[in-house]
Amino acid sequence: MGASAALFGGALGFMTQVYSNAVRRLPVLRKPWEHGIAGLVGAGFGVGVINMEERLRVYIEEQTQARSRK
Amino acid sequence: MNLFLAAFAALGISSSIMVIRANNPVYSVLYLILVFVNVSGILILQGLDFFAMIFLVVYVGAIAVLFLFVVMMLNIKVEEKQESMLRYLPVGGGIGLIFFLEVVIGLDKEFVPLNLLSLGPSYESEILPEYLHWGETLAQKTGIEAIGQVIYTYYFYYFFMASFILLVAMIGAILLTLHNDPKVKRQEVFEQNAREFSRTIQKAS
Amino acid sequence: MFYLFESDFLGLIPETFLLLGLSALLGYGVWYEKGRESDMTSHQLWIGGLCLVFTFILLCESPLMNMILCYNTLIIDGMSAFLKSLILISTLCIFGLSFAYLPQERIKAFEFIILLLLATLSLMLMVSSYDFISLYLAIEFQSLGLYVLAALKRDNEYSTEAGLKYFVLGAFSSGFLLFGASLIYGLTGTTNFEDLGLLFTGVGPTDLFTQGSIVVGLLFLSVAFLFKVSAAPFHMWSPDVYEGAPTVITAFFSIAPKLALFGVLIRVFYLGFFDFLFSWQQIFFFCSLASMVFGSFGALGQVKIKRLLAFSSIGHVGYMLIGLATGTLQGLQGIFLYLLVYMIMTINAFSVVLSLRTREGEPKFLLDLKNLNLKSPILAITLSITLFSMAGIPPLAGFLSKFYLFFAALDASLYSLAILGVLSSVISCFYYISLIKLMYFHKADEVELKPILPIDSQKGLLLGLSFFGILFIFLYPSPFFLLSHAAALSFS
Repeated sequence: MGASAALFGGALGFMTQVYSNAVRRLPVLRKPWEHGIAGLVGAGFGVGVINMEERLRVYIEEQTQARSRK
Repeated sequence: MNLFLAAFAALGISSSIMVIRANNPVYSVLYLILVFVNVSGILILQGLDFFAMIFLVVYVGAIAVLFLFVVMMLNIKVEEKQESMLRYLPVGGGIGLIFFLEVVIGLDKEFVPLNLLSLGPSYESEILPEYLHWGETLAQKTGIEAIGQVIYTYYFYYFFMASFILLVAMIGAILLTLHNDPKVKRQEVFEQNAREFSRTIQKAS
Repeated sequence: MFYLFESDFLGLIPETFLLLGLSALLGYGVWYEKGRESDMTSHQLWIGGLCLVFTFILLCESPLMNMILCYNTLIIDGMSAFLKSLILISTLCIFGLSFAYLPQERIKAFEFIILLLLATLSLMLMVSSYDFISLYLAIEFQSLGLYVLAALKRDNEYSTEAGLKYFVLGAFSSGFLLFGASLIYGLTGTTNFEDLGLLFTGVGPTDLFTQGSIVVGLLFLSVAFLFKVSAAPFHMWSPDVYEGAPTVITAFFSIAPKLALFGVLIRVFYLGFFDFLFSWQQIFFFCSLASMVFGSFGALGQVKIKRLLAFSSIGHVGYMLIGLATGTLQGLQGIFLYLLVYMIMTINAFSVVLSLRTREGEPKFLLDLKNLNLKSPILAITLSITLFSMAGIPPLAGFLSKFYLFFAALDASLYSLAILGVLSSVISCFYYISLIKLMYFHKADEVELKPILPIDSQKGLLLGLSFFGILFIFLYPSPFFLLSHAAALSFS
């Protein structure tokens, strides 16, 4: 799950940078290191989202149980 | 006491009607001052001496006088209100009536104290509700002392927020009124003071 | 040594940090040399944005999840954390839009940034206010800053008109709020939301003794809030204000205050007055219906872009009020999801509008969108996708949130609201699609094509992020469902 999230997030970040360059009418692959950074940030984001989802699941479970016990 | 309350309230309401009905804006502002004075009278009757004084100082002393200055400086002509009044009366009056009825119907059930309904021998007043004043049975503090004790401790947050609001108002007033036009000549105090006599005056040849 | 509020400040760390940061920025702006203001606004935007990012991190990493602060005046819970982070993100996006806008419009005043940060702070405090007095103070704090921002372009008549109108009507609605709150205080003797909720426990709508005037107070409160979120019978000010204010400020107006005000609405009516559900349900039912209808029919006659966006935001407010009228946890979850998606869509729409700037200035009329396809195909695709998403066409984010809200309405057996919601969403499709027609299927006359100015990198990034957000929230929506569920749980 983590690897595919990172992959997907990375692709999303890369695409965002490509889109950003395209909308600004620059060459699409200008300054490739920017694309790399965007991909890394996107991968981090993907992993973060997965982690957040896991934490939220636990939190919601806890809260629902605490409420049903009352 | 109740006579005073009735007098203050009646005067306050009638002068607030005059605020919006007076033809001359200067009269409007003067009536507004009358409203403030009456309201502070009511506040004194409630035992809120400090609030009454603050009300007078802030609203009459600062805000109303500012209004008066602005109104007099703008030199607004006395306008005819008859025509405009009739135009907006149906809609505005209708909405106003609805709100008024809603409030009156809602309120006269709950804000009339129960002992008024029973009309027993202890029945004294028609306007002021009758109840045991718990405040009088305790050790008393003056109003300002009590405010100080609460607002600097438990409710410090409100005090902070009021100061932030003033900060925003200050920044906004500066932003909206200060013109930083380079063409405007300004006095440079520091430069003036730092100027030396010997360097300023020079021989012309 | 014993401190009264020792642990309370720990809960307020994000707000305190934001306050300190903006004070430092204010000092920097005052100290900075005159004549180089345009450099300084860019510095301030960078540092202010950094400040917002740090505040966001502090907010997310805060270990205190549920807490009542400062002697029952503030509260931290799941909803406040969720909405505060959305508010911070939206302000950050507004900063991103401002990088190019400020020099283009020759706005040199650094107070712009300070006032935006102050407004953000006040919105955060508003979301977590727990008492009528703190709520009123936060609302005043926010609106004073926004009045000034609306009137920022002093020499523009529209902008001054917007500021004045906003000021007068805002003061009017604050008066309503105070009147309602004081009625409720006079009847119950408390201003705290939770105390009110405890006091009213089990008080049904049949209880004659407490009913009448509490409901009058509730009516005034809801009128004040509906004024502020520009719901339909009280929406008259919003198209004028949105049109007159500088465009980035319009974007701010249509996102951040709505986030905070919906938080406040939910807190007041779900926490304080939930036992009067059947009284206020009717108010919100009516207003939601009216907003959806006015939003879609009013937008049909508009010729200016910003007025159209204002009417579309009135319509969106109507859809969100459906969630409030349901009175269920599912409705709340729907509102939170809708707020998130609405934020992304609005940011995207406004960044497209700001990117269409030509040499003559920014586009004012809908006709300026004509043949956008030839000028910039990518922008045309982006705007079409956003408009489709706003209209609620299936594979996009807007569909998801509307779908969820309508299902919440059906579960709460508000069938008429759900059906009319779908119908008005169909009507709103009409004008969204007419815009798309204007962009694509119009006869090209080469003379009229004015090239749009180059787009700066911040705006490009924002466009990309919000575009992919709209596209991909539908693909993997479960984290967002969970987020809104966690936020809604604080009211179960």
